[in-house]
Amino acid sequence: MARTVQATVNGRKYHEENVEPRLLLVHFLRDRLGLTGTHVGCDSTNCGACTVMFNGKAVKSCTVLAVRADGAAITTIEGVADEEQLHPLQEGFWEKHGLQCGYCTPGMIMSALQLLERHPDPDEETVRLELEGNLCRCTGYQNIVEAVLWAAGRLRGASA
Amino acid sequence: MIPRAFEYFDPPTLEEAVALLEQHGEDAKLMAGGQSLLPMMKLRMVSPAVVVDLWRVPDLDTIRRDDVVVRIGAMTTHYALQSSEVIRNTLPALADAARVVGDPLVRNLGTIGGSAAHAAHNADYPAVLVALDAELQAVGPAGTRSIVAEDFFIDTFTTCLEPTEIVTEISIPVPGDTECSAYLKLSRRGTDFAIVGVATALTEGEGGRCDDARVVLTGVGDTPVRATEAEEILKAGPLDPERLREAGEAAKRNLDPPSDVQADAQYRVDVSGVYVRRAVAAAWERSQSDVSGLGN
Ligand SMILES: Cc1cc2nc3c(=O)[nH]c(=O)nc-3n(C[C@H](O)[C@H](O)[C@H](O)COP(=O)(O)OP(=O)(O)OC[C@H]3O[C@@H](n4cnc5c(N)ncnc54)[C@H](O)[C@@H]3O)c2cc1C
Ligand code: FES
Ligand code: FES
Repeated sequence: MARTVQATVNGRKYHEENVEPRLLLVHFLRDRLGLTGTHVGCDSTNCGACTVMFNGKAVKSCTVLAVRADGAAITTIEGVADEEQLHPLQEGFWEKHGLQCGYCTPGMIMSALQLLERHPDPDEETVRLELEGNLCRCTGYQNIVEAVLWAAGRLRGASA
Repeated sequence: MIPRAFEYFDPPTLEEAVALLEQHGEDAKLMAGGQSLLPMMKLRMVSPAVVVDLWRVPDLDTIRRDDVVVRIGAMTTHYALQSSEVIRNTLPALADAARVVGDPLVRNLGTIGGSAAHAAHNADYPAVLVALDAELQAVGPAGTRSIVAEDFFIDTFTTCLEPTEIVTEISIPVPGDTECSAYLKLSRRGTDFAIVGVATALTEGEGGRCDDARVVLTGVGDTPVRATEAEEILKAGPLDPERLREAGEAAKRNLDPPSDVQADAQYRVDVSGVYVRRAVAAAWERSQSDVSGLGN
C-alpha cells in the first residue's frame, strides 16, 4: 500500500503522496523531487555515486527505501552550497581538479562532508579510508584526496 | 534495479513486529539496516511479499555495560560500534571488526543484528561473536530465548532462528584483566568481504603462558570455523614465536575453504596460517603492558 512521505530536503519541506514501499530513496529524490544532482552509478550499493546525508549520516540512497524518509532531514548535493557561495569542498574540487567526468563528484562531496565532520583535521590516510565507499573511474583519487585536504584547511581557517 | 513490489510494515513495537511475522510466516522478511537485504531484493535474489522494518522500534540500538556483561542492541550500527569507547576498551576484537565492515556508508546503516542474522560465510562479526563467547537473545511468539554464538550459525545464510524470531540483543561477557582479543581481516579492497578473517581471544597466564585461547576463522567455511588444534597448541606452553608458528600451521590443517574470484582455496589455506599468527600476536601484545617481541 502506497504511503505518504513528509521529508525535509535541503531545508525545504516536501509532502509526497502515493510513495510505493519499493521506491528507492535515490529515485524519490531524482524522479519525484527533481533533484537530479544525486547520481545512480552502479545501482548495486558499491559505488557511492548516490550518497546523500540522511539524518546527519552519509548513506547510499540506492539502498534505502524512500518510505524511511518520512520525517527525515536529507541533504543532497544541491543543498551543500550557501546560496551562490560554493562550499569549501566544492571550491576544493574546483581548485585541485578533483574531477574529470564529474559523475562520482556529488557522492564524493557528500561523503567528504561527513569525513570532515568526523575528522576536521584529517591526514591523507584518513581521507582515503573514509572515502572507501566512493568509487571514481577517472581521477585515480589523487586529486580528490587533495581537494578534500584543501577544503579541510579552508574550513579550519574559517573556524579559527 | 527495483525490488519486486511488497507490502511494508514498520511497527513501533517488538510485539507487533513478532505478530506480523507470525501472521505472514515465510512470506515475510525483517529489515534492519537493509544493507544486505535491499541489494538482494534489487537483484531479485529474494523477493519477500512482506517486509517488516524494525527501524521504528525504540531502544534496540543501545550499548550497555555492567561488571559482567556488555549488552548490544541488535540495531546497533557498525559505525556506533566502531566509535563506542565501551566497545573499544572492553571488546577490542569487536571494534576491530566493526571498523572494517564494508565502507563508511554501509557502516552508517548496517547493524550487528542484521549481520549476524544474515550469516554470510565471509562476514566479519560471526567469527568475533564465537571467539568472544557471545549469546544472542531472540524474541518470538513463544517468548525469549538465548542462543550461544557457536550454535547460532548453521550454514551460509542460515541460522537457528525461526522465521518468526527477532534478534534483540547480543550479550558478551566482560573479559577479565588478563584477557584480550583481536580481529584481523584480509580483503583486496576496502569495501570487500573477507578473503580470510581471524578472531582471537586469549587469557594470559603465569610465565608467558596462555591459559585459554580461542581462534575462530571466517571466509574459510560455511560458518565460523574454530581452529581447535591451534588453540590447544597455544595453551600448551609459553607463547613464543615457535609456538605461534606451530599454531598457524595447525590452523591450516583440515580447512576446506571455497575458491572464488578473489582467491582460490589453497591461497585461503596458506593465508589462514599467516593471519592466525598475526591475530594472536596482536591480541597478545594488547594484553601485555610491556613489549612481548612476538612480531609476526
Ligand atoms: C558494499 C557492501 C560491503 C559490505 N562489506 C561487508 C564486509 O566487509 N563484512 C561484513 O561482514 N559485511 C559486509 N556487508 C554487509 C553489511 O555488514 C550488512 O550491514 C549486514 O550484513 C546486514 O545488516 P543490516 O542491518 O543491513 O541487515 P538487513 O540487510 O536489513 O538484513 C539482513 C538479514 O538479516 C535479517 N535480520 C535483520 N535484522 C534481524 C534481527 N534483528 N533479527 C532477525 N533477523 C534479522 C533480515 O531479515 C535479512 O535476512 C557489506 C554490505 C555492502 C552493501
Ligand atoms: S548507485 Fe548507489 S552505490 Fe552505486
Ligand atoms: S570524475 Fe569521473 S567517475 Fe569520478
